[in-house]
Amino acid sequence: MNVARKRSAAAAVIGLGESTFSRKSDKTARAHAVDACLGAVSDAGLKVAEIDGLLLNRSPIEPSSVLPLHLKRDIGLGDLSLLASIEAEGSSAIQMIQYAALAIGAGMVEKVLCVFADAPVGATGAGDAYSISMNLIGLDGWDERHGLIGATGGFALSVQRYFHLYGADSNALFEAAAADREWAALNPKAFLRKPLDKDEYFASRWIVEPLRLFDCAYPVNGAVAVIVSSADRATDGLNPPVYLHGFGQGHSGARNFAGDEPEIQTGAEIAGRNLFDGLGTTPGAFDFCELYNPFSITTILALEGYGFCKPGEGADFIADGATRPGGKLPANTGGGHLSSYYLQGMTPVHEAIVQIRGQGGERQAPSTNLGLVTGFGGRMEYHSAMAVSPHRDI
Amino acid sequence: MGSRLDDEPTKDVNPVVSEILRRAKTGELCCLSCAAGCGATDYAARICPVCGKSVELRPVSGHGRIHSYSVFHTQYNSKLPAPYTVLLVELEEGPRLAVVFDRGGESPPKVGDAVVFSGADDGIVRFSMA
Repeated sequence: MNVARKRSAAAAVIGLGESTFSRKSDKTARAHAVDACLGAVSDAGLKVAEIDGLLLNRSPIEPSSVLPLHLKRDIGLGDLSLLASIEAEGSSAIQMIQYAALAIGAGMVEKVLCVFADAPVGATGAGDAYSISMNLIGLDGWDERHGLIGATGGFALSVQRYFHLYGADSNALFEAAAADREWAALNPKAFLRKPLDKDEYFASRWIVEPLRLFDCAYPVNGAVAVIVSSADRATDGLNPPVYLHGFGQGHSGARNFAGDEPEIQTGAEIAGRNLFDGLGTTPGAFDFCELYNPFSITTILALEGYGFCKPGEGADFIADGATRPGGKLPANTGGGHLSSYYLQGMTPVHEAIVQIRGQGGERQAPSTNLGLVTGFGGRMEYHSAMAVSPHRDI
Repeated sequence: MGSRLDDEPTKDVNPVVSEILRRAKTGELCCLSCAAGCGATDYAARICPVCGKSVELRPVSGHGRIHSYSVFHTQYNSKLPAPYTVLLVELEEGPRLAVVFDRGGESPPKVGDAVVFSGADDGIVRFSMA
């Protein structure tokens, strides 16, 4: 590690729990959340009564009733000192952990359970759940009226813009998707584990051109929960602590106006700067990264936005093997959103915890002294990032 | 799904959208612009990003270039049979607007191509190659 400013973590993740991940509409998000929360408590070696804080995160396209504050009763929690629902779309999972760490540091609370749950897969698949408006133009109802439907539509505009600016083509997207699949092959919990053949990729159907089926996240129903504790109490548990060394949020102000490039200039640059400046380090200090990547293009843009490579070079970075198994910067080591499972911000958080604990099995990265975890919402304008380590002092 | 997107423009809850569509149907495309004269803003602006004063609708030339585009292969709206192409047009005044490509047999669009407002008879703003 090359961290200029020596630092000691104040908080750590000491528990990780998950529900079953399912492609069937068998349980509500709330029921999955209970399973994940109880799993995290057990994983941490705690009793439910020791939890004094609860943060909830539901999918931004679901109503609050899907994951209400009353979840606390479902889990059997008693009096709490912290309770809130955090809603900043895909940046929420890391934000929950950040706010938990801050609240612990401020003396508000000692053990905070943070949970995300979602059940987008219905009887006819998950497509309907994501046929939402991103309101990219900023006029209510305009995007839908003009057929600009769904997250995929918004990200397709990013792809086309990226292709134009850097002379890239669909091969860039294929490399990003194939790299994730290589990791997924090593992850027994990943849903898509067969190597992604180039012909199969190019034969897959358009979702919104230029994005194909295999460029898009693989949604599941399920939940993931983590428990954040003070670092002083982190070694009391059953599993190695995941120390939280820094956080950075970045929310881009880029507009749909001449001179701005909101399709490719995201909140990543701001979140990365805030994180790296706080740590006194650079992207080169990180051994691995878990990137929020609901579409293949977003892995490329994150590698560029967080400064692991220059703008326009993300696809070559992946194609040359840097992020693949055996590469210098293992990325999305569980298979990411495309090949493991899509549970929004908790997919990268979950995998980072597995890696820091050294529980990655065949997919364990060789060096995990410092990891970057990211999340984003909107069409990449709302970013959050955190630095995690198995070492309290770095 | 699909039918919920077929509502007529008059049912829009957003009066700015209704007014833009009403004027577009008469052949006049508008953008949001600073009432105090700072110039055009993006369509998401509710106050002028330069001076903070209010914004109002002002006519634009209707000329622009394709900033990006995507092709939809699913039909969501009876007025937009798939496949259809959504253009993100950068108007020459600066704002960018999502519109439907009025293809009329032309070759596929490319980023940077010059396009022009071609009408909004059915409540959908369309552009064609300039």
